[in-house]
Amino acid sequence: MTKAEEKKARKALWKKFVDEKFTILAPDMLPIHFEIFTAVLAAKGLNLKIVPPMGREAKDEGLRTVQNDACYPAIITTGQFVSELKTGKYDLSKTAVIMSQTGGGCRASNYISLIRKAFEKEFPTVPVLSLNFSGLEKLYSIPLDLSTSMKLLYSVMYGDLLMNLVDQAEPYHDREKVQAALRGCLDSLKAQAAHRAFYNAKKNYRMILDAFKDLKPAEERKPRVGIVGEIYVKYSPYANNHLANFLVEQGCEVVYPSLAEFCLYCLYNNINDYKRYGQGKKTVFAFKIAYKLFLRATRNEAKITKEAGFKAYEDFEYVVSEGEKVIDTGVKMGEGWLIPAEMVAYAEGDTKNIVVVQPFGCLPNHIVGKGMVRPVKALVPEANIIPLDFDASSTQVNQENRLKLMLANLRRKP
Amino acid sequence: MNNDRIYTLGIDVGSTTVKAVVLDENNNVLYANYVRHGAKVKETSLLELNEVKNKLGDIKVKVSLTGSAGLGLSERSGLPFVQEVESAYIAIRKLYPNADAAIELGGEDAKIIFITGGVEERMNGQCAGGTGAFIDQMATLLNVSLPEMDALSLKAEKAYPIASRCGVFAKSDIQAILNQGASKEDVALSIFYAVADQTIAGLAQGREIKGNVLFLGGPLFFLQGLRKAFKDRLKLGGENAIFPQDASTFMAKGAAVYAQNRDTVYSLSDVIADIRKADMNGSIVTGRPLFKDQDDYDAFIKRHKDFDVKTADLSTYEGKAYLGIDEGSTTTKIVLLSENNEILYSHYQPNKGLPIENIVEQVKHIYTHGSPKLEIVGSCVTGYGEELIKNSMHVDYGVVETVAHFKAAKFFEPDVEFIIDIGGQDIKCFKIKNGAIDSIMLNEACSSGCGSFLSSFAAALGYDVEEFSKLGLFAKNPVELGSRCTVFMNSSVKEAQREGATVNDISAGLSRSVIKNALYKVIRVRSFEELGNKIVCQGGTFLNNAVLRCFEMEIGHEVIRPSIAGLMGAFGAALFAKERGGNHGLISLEDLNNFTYQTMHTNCKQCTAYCNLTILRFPKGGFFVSGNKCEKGEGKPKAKHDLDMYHYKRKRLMQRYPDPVNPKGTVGLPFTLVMYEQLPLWDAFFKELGYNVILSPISTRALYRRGQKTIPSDTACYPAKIMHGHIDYLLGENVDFVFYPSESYNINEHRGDNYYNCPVLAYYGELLKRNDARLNDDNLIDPFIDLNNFKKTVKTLNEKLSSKGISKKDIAHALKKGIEEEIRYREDVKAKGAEIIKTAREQGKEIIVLAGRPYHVDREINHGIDKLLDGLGVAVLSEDSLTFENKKTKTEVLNQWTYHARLFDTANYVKDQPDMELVHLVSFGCGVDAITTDEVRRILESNDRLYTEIKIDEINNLGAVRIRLRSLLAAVEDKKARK
Repeated sequence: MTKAEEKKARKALWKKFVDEKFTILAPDMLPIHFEIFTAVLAAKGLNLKIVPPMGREAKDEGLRTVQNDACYPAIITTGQFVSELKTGKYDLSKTAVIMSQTGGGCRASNYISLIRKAFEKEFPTVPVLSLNFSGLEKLYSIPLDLSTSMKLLYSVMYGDLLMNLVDQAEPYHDREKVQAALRGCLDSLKAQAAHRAFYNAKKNYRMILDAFKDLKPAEERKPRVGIVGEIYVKYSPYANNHLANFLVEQGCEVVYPSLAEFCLYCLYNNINDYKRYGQGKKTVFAFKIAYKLFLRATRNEAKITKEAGFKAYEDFEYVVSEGEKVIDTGVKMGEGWLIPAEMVAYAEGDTKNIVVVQPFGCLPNHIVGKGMVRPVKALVPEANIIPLDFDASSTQVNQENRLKLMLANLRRKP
Repeated sequence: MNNDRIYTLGIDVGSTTVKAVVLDENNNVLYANYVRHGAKVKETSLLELNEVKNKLGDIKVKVSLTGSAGLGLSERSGLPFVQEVESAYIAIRKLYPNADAAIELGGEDAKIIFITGGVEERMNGQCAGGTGAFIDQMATLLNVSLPEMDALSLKAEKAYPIASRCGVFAKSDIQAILNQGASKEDVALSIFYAVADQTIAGLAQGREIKGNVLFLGGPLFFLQGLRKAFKDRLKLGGENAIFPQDASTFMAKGAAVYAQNRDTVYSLSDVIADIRKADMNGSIVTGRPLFKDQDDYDAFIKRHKDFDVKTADLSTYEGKAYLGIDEGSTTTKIVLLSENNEILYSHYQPNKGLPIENIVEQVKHIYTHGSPKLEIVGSCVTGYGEELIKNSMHVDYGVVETVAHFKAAKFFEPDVEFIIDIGGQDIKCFKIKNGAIDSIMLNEACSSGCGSFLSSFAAALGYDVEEFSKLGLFAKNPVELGSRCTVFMNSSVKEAQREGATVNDISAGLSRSVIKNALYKVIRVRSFEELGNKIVCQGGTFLNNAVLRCFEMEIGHEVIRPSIAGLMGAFGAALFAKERGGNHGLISLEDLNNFTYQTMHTNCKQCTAYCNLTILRFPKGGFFVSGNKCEKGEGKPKAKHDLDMYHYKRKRLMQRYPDPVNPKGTVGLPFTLVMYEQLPLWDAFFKELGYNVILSPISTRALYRRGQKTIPSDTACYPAKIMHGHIDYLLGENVDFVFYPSESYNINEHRGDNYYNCPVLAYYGELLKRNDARLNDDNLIDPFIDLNNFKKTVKTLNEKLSSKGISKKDIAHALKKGIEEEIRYREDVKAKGAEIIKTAREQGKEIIVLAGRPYHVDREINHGIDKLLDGLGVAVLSEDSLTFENKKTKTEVLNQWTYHARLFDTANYVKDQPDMELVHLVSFGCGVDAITTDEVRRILESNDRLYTEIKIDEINNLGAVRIRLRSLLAAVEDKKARK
């Protein structure tokens, strides 16, 4: 296929998804963010649906359909897709699924092929689509125009702010009140998704902060526990057995890194590849612009958040400098240097307790997860860090027992 | 008892036991007891508390629960909870203020507490779980009780190295050692050392355990041998190793101390009432029952009755008979077959680590009980112990297991399409196509031991396996227990117990897990149609009706299970002997009566591997050597290895660049991972710059152990973990600095979509630098470079090396020289590859492409598989020795790693070469290979070719590999014969 033909075929394919009102199933990683993304893409005529919460059976589906040595995120996202498609709720001739690809050097870029293999026999007609910015999957990758890309960027920002406020509010307030505030903000944002108002970030930040103005954390903060690690397991409550809820119930305040930070990390690595190895001469310019845009957006957001009396996410460039204390920023596969960087930033700040989550046997995390606990502790001896493995066959009691140990350590220290 | 006094009660509910302690205000122990709960967590806890009440009356207490099962009990009863490591810490501070550190082994978990120099509490990762449970399993394996095993260990003469990273792995290693004829005493001691090593290496992770060390938990309390192992390994003098008298109830005591600071005061009856009220029916996921009702079960039993074999009487049968022996890893199976295929005698029993003695006894039995007119005219042996039994008993034929099993299965179903055999240790599956074995699937180490897990688990709960699995037949809610490995299953059981699952539900759940492990991990079945319609199930584990039923339910299809399912290997061997005809050489009764043999242990001194050899000498001059990785140890003439590419590469890499005349310093290069390919480059590079280059030695297990304590992630691959030992060696050589490049990108060979390295290989230098306290930015140089960009590489190297007084110009020159050397090396490898192909073809030899990674050339990593193949008379090529003229291989996966692109190309090439087969070497824990194995298999199968995968790790169980490779060669031969 020539490039022109490819372009044409892609356009036709995606037009079909819109015209025939395809349902596109997406994994459940970040509930708040994904709800906003869905509204933005709906404005483009794409009908995204996040897979609903599931039980153990989806994990078993995954173990059945995916090579068991593959990583946990691949097994459970595929399992969720298969379970959902099996419910019979979908017209299989008008259903697709979508998965992200970073194009990095870890296995995650191959989830798409694992899902396709899993679908081969049971759902041969269901296309597996890709969300990536690396030029992979020429035909099946979602085409994003500038305005949609910008809206997605703002969705990341809004989602991050909401996640941050919910995490700060929940330990101190009635859960229903917090959820109601969240719901109100989400409804408002979704209503704007098709309109220019969505770009008015300042106004929307204020709207969100205003909704949470009576939900500020108490003067005396509960112990803060940071959750860092592999992106899917870190964020997805299904994947991590509702880790955040568990910690809140145990009397902690949960601290999550933002999604924007991960996006900046990806952009940073692309720019770095050019600087260090001369790679990607053609695209580096665009990456630099996106980096600046994103960085500025996070700084604006942080400023407004602080003014409103909430804690804001750490500044990205500060996080980079923290990371450089323990690791070279050339370590760029998976979550790479970002995980130790987040650990240092947390430990040196007021989040001394850290859970590092990773899929069992995750390759980059041998280096950047478990491999970096020692140097971080050497730097901040009072840091209380536990690495926690997740696997479709691992048990909650095992994990909870280790978390309880972390909590016991946390309570003993002043 | 005084009714106004307030006591404290600590209840420790662990994975296997319940412990209760009552203290008074002055910490005097009024009650302390320890009892196994056999999965009945709530009931046993209640019994124990009632016992307290009987003894002390309905006293007033402050209470606290602890322990892994205590967590659930606390949540559901509302009683206070303290994490078990924390409760140990509290008790230590109170009762042993002088302790500097503590080690606690429980049924499932290992914990370590550092006190002096910064309090730190650690637990093992879940993969390394199963300490106490592991020792239980090992005792079952040796067929001794725990006290017996302990006594044995104290009489040991030597210890063997055993993989200590997890119970399943250790078990595989022990199996191999037992099969080599090691004494039980030595094995028992080795097991205790393995536990000590696992705990120390895995938990301390480089932090030194010193001063006064407290040892806690049941196993360390009861087992003297284990205590000794820990003391030895930690080099602790008697006064520094403290074994408290109350070690087994220590955590419960800690919980009691913890309770002192709680506010709520209960009466003992309140506590009992709260626990009784605890609703244990939690959120466990359950599956369908195995049988609807008794009728359903009866029909099932009746259906399988059809596959019985006729028998005849040994003492009256007259005529020719054929002896089949299957000497498996854990059991001995024997069948004596009549001319009419009736079974005259059969025998099935655990070999208890004494294979020869068993066989001698059995053959004697046949000779003495058979009629005088019975004549054994043929004999055949198969299984792990094939060589041993063949040599000692003068058996006529030896046959590969797959062939024996296939023969047996065909007897019951001539058109069999799929055979699945689940034994104690191994799961074997073969697909049959056009009357020949078409593909073979064997479990790798991680999923081994599923069959015997059932029996050891049953034993732990106090049942025999038959009784235990019967409990599952009519279970209402079989629990879901996962399928990754037995260690994980064990922990799932613990969770199920917390949720209140019954023994019946657990039994049924375990049977199902064994099946799921076989289907989804070993066979990797994607649709059950693949298996065909005519399926024969065999192996001892399938005699278990619950397991058989689970298999049928899972695949939704009826199967054939012969009544002699456990004897199929021996049955097949007997059929084989019958087919081949008479060649009676079997040892005579007279010789048997005088049969003795001598065992000798020694180290092979033919090369630097120093294999542990066990030599058995038999009366008629025969002998049997085991433990050797190559033929040298067997006293056979030295082979030339002309057609072994791996041998060539090892030699070629040792052709080093000339040393500098006036060296300005020394550089250390660790001989692992990337260095197995880029040694020529960096050797030349540094020598051109005027440095002496010290290369770390060829890997050995001893070298691995040298660095083991600095490994932060035990689940990483062995080639990476062994690097810690190489670094330790180089630091001992006083090099100026160690060099290991960080290469996100490999050389772009233009054969894929990208050209990454895997994250572990690319960044291991960063990990080393931060986990070995002796390393820093000055003495470990790990520049981030992309060799495809010469200019930038020079720039980065210059930045990193300028402090050593090296100019940019010199670096550019040296790098150019290095690259030239690298190119020459690779050309030599390809040329040798072409030469081997040519010679092999001239000699009509089969060619095996042993496809892995460059670093799999390391003998310690591949455990001598290339030599094994060489010894089997085939030519061995590597994935980088082939030349591809064709276009890029079309893959269904993202082809983005250089090493893996080579694999895909190799598969694509081999699939069209009728005289070549591919054997895929995969390092255990290699995440990337989870992608490549399926793809390589797909490419090969697209042209109807066999796919063989061998997983390698620290464990050294070449026996299984030998069977695997011989099966492959047998299948290839068979296929050829048919054409």
